[in-house]
Amino acid sequence: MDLVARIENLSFKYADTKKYALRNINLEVKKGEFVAIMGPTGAGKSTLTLTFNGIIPQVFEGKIKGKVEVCGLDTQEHSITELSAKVGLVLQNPETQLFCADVESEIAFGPENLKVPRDEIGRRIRESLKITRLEGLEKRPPFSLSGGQKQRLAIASILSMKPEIIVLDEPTSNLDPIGTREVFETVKKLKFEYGATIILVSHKSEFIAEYADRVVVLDNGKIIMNDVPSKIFSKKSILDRSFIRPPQVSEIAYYLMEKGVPLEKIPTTLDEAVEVFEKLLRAFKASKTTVSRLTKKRKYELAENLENEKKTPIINVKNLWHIYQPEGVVAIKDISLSIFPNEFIAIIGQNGAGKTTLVKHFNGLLKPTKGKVIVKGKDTRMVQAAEISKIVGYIFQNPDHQLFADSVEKEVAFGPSNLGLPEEEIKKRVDEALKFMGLEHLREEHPLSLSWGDRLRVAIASVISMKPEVLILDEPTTGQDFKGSRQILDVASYFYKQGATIIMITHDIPLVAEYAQRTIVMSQGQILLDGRTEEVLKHINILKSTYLEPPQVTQLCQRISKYGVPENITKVEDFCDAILSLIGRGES
Amino acid sequence: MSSGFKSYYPGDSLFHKLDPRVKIIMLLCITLIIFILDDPIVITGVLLAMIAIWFYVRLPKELIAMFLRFIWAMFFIIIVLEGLTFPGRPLIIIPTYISYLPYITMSFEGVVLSTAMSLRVLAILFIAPLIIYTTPLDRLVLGMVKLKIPYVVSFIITTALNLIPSINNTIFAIQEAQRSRGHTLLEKGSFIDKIKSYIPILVPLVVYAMRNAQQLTVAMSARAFGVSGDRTYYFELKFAARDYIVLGITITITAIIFGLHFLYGFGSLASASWFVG
Repeated sequence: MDLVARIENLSFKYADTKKYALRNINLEVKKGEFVAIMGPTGAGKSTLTLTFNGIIPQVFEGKIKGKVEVCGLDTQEHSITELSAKVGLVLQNPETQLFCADVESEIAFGPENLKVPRDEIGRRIRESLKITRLEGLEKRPPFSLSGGQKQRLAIASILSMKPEIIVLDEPTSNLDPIGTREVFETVKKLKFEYGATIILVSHKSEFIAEYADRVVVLDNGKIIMNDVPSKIFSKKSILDRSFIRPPQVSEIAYYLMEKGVPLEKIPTTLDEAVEVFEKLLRAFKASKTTVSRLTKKRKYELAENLENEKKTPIINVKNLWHIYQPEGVVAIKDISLSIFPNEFIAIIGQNGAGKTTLVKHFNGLLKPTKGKVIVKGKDTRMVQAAEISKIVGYIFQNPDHQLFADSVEKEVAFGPSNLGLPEEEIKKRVDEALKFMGLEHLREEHPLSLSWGDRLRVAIASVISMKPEVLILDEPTTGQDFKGSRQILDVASYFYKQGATIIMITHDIPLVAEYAQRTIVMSQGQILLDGRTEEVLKHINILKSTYLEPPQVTQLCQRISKYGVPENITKVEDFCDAILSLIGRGES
Repeated sequence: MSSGFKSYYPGDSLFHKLDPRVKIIMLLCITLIIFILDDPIVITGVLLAMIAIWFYVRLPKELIAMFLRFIWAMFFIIIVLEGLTFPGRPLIIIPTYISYLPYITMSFEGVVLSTAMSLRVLAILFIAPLIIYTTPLDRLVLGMVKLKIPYVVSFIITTALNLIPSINNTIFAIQEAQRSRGHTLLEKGSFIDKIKSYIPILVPLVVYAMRNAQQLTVAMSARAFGVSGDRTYYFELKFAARDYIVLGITITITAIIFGLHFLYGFGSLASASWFVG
């Protein structure tokens, strides 16, 4: 097949930095190929995507060595307008990519700039709408669309320029799981029906294993692996080093193979895993007795965790309604809920389900339109958010909106000084929080001059220095790589073990399964499900109705349940234990 | 987020449906009228008319409150300074108990003139958003281009306008983070405290605006946006009957006011009996 893009010995350094963002990159992309780019934050993935259409080095200047050629055009010699007709770029944040009044004019913007004749633009609009399944929404303003629709519109507005290569830079990291699936399905259609070449940056291993032809792993500006997904995801040691999480089904296989279970191969997709485990379990002909032993054990766990009834709730929500003015949007509809001390709660649900609106009532940032919220005996309507901040700490999604002091130290001291604590106590708490988050060496730095990961750690440190009893994390893992997500969740579970209550909003279902003891599913301003995480995640139909998917491991269990695997397993370790005891290798 | 500010509020009033060119011409006419008139009473009349249209097109009342919150302090300072420095008949005499300057006076003329100036600014502050909020941004660009304003200039103006709501939302997000960390000055505290509380927001805001502008540059470059302005326009603007009618009325009223002003001194302080005395 013909090459559509070739990168030769490319190195690039931004004008204002000392370190090279890309180092000696060599990459060839064939026509019609789907190449996924993976790697930790700061590896140079976004920089690499910007080299394909000449934005680097033409808009963002710096020191460049080597050569990038797309469709026979050298990106340093041809104009961006010329290149943008060949290479389309879809970015992470839909908000900054969509700037027109309605769907139709958004799609027309690119071809208009390329001086495409009017009737041809009309044809392209219809075609792009069809491929991205946005027909009927022509006149809708982009901001009124759902997250998945917005990203599909971003794709449609690139598609109308008829590019040969479509580059997508983390297009799904702001989306709920079904939105993510919609975007991946659209990308797949681009490849098969439209014949486009796809270059996609993403952390979502499960999807990449299913859709991509090839995976390129970047680390520290260098390509460290370049192979088909099944090969990449079976090299556990390299993945671990680059903080890439393999698909859950592969993780299961590594673990079981380590224990000496004879698996045919390391599966990377759900279908492959079903096949591998069906073969294994059929060979062992699982007996009924092991199954009943397993179910009994689970029931026992369930009883253990139901002691909430006896405690007094720390947050009590009674018939809460919230209506946003001036539009009159009903965001919360008659929610009643009790949160008890030392719970680890995950709140999940599609984009726009009302999750953030609900938790902003927990620290008084929002006041009920109707109903009430009682935090440790205080009615939030009667007190200011500042007063509740002693009890409830709130870590927002975007660290940049939480940093406003001129040094890391002052940032972390801001909360404790507002609490009116004595000088020595403030100093002690700042030291503790900095030490805990590993920020001591950055004390004097300006928070906004730090890297994304460090900025996030400062934001967390500045909340934990207030020692709140309840810690709210609003989508803490959005835009984070595997390592970043891990670090944040480890902080949360440390405080949970110290007795704090953790409330976490997230779309990351595997993390919910691993950390949260209780899960609340929201949809359209109401609570659909509320209960123990394992029980909640079992309800595949309800989850799908609110644009979520159970973890891959749960889906696997449900597909092979006829062999005696319990259907409500949500964690990788539990699945491995179940398999081990089914084949008679469990610790009995 | 449904609570955020936007750059366009959809609706189906006559004002929403008007051709953007008619709206831009209206803006120019009203601005002209306001600047030739200097009688604060007449300007108040124009201002009230603006507010009436504002209610007619059902723009959120919160936006009015937001404008006033940022602007009233400035007007207060202008009126006081102008009153103290402009020579004329004394209106208010403030004793100072200092031997060489026993009292200071605020002049009647100074207060009236600066009030007129403040009301003018306020009226323009009301009419400009009235047009921006009822017109999709790209239609506004198209309107300006059709009125022979260069494409790039039109685009820069509208993109800058687009940034205002997002800056506003950022200020709001930062303030929420401050309140969540026990900061109270925003809910209570003196005027000076409130002003002070905005200072720490400035740095993150500038950083944010720059990052945002950078992302927009990337997104627009990727869609072949160039400075040449040599491009196809897929959408066309067509004048409907209502556009001709509204345009006719606007021009007629403007002409009448100009005539009355220059011939009979309508809206002119020099011929206002209460001012001349």
